[in-house]
Amino acid sequence: MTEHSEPSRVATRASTLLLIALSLVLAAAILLGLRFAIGVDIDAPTIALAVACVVMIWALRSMWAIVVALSRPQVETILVEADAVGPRSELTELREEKARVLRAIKELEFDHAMGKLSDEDFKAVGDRYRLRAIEVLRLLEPTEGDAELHPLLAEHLATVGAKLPGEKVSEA
Amino acid sequence: MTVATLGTLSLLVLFAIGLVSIALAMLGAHRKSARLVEAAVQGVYATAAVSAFASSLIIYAFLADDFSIQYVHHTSDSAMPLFYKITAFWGGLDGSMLFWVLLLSLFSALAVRANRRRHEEMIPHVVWLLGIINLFFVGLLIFVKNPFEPFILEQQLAGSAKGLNPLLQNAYMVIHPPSLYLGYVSLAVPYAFGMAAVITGQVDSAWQQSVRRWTLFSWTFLTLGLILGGLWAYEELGWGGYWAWDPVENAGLIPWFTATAFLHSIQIQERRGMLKRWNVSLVILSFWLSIVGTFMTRSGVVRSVHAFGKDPQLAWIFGVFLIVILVGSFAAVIWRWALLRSRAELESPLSREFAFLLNNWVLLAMAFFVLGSTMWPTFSEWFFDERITIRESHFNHYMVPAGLALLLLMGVGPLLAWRRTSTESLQQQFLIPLVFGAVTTVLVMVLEWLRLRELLGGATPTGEQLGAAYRDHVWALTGFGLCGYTLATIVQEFVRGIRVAKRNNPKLSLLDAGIRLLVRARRRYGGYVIHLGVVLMFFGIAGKAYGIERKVVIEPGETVALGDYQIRHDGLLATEDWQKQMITVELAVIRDGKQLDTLTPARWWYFQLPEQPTTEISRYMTVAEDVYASVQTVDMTTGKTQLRLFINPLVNWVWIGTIVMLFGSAICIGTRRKQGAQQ
Repeated sequence: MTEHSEPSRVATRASTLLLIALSLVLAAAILLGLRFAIGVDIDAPTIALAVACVVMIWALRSMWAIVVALSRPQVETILVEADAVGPRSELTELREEKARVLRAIKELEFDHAMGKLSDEDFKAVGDRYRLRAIEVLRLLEPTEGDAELHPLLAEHLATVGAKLPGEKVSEA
Repeated sequence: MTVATLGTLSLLVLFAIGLVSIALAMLGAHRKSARLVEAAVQGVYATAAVSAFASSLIIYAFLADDFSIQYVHHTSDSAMPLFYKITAFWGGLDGSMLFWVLLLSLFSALAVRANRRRHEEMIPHVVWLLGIINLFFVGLLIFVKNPFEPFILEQQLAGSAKGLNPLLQNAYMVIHPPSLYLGYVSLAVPYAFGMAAVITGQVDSAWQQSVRRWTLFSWTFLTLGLILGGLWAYEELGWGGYWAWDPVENAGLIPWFTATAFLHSIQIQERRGMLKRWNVSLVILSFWLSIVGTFMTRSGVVRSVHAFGKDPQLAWIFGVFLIVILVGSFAAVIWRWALLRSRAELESPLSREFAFLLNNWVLLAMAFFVLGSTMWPTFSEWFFDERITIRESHFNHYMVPAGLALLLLMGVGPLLAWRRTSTESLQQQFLIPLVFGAVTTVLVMVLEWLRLRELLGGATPTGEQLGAAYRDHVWALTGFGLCGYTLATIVQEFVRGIRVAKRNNPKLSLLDAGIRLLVRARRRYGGYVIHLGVVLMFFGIAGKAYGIERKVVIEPGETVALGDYQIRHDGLLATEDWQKQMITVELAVIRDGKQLDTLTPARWWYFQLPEQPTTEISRYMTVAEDVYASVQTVDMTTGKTQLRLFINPLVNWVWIGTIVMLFGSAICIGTRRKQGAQQ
């Protein structure tokens, strides 16, 4: 879907704040007008009525927003699903996975420091997480120097018999 | 235009916007059209605004005493205080459903606003799912229970306004229903995100974060609502207890069990990629059970002090809706069955994930046991033409051991590592909690022996007598022992965590290290704070086994014994205010010859509903126990007063535990870090 640009978001926020301010001013004007022009007592039902009036303005405004959204040309973008959305979703997934794996490593280190894991288990489990973290980081930030694999990852890939990047087919 | 007409019109507009939003969201999702999805999202905001308008109208009608509206006439009267007039909004069936719509539409707007950029593909599905749920309730408001329905004939024919049920004119009752509604209604959000994840196939991680936070929010409010309900029963009904497995309270407890199970099992999915099907099923079940709870409360299929009354039409409509949700949701899960497979396997029973899994099984068994037992009287009436009554003892017989099993697991889970725990670390982790648990058990057994000796007037109890006392209090003794064990686990976790934090940064003070632990590992340590609250609650519940109850008839000047206390009748006081007549009994609480307090239990007769007098209890509170008194009957000519007197040991720890639990939830929910900061 289309991302809102920063200026348009700021404009939306400003218009929302303006509407809130106007609503409050209107409510105050209605109450003061009733009090001083007509001499009505400002009791609980009168305040409730003023609140209802303000909420009604909000309701009308939000209904109008549906019409505006339907008629707005700049968001009239038809998305070409999967292809258009795919890479972004994949990136988001990878970022989430990065956060998850890093958090898991931190927790593992914490558990180990607290004595819940033996050194052997800590190494075995931690290595798996670290390899995954390296993989995810490489997928997220591919750089030119990436032709060379991290030695730990290269070692792991070699042990599982995977083809390394840059290797020729004949060598595999 | 009258308020009734404007209100009904606003409901019709709400229905129309709901239909349009659902259609736009479905079309937008199908065509991948940003324009249609944007319009649908605006529809969600419009729904929230229009439902707020309808709600403000009904509140205005209450405040302005607009008795031309039937609902206002039935649940309010002009003499009612302003506060109760506002809360009468949700005091009756019709208004409570409008309140439900208001909350659901506000939550929908908040959830969509917070997540629309984060989960763009899922949002249209979330919108139409939440829209359908909202539309169902708006439809009920329009076609079955319109709170704006005016009198067709002259309003005077209906007599004077009836006023809010006096039992509901209580501060706890003002907060209790909204808390439960907040819990119930907000469960729709995780459900919508879970189902949207299933529909879009993004079942890996996209939905977890949003869903977990919302479920925690629902769980917190369900907890608060349930406990406030207990506190209300304790202070308003005058039977000396706070939980009697009332069907309507059970209705709130059942989704609480499944939400608790989900909050534990989602951690396994986050860490290990396991239990995806299970987690989606728990989200569906939690929401489904929240609707079941609404159905139970509003259709009259169960009998309760809280139920709104019998309504077979509503029962059928809810029944069909429940079947549609269940069949539709699980059909989607079956459709995505392959996608929802686990990425890892359970490696060892000595792992945290296995402890969580056990906890899930126990919680789910408890949920279905309570559901089955609550509904059984209704089913027996339907199928065998005989309504079977299920007593409190039936629930306690099964739920007490199940609750203690949960308490045990709460002390085991944190000590285990993910994947597997080695033998030496098992010894290292379990030694202190086990020793502490054993010492606590021995200590309470000694205290039991001392209690028995006191009861026997200083004579040493025989082995047989002691055995009988231990058998009678076996669950309480086990409970105290497990409280000691689990408390030691929590303290050990904090101590070791602080030690690690100090090792990493020796400059930190103990307090700083503790705060850092809570801030940095919010979920883990916030969770432990919740566990601490649960331990305190169990401590309070276990004390109930040592309670004393007496029913007495005494005259002014007479004194009766109650445990270590003497209760003296100091006289009666008849008073009246603009709303009710009151008879208050003055009781002196004496211990060791010293007057500690004066209790003032009373009976109130509201002018609007004189046939429903209320019981106003009075209690002398300490951290160790409550001395609790309620008035049953009073003979104004002789002054003879029938009283129910109780000593409730440790009861206040239940409320203290709740506060600690809520504090823990606040730590867990915390604030979301900015996306940029995470990356």
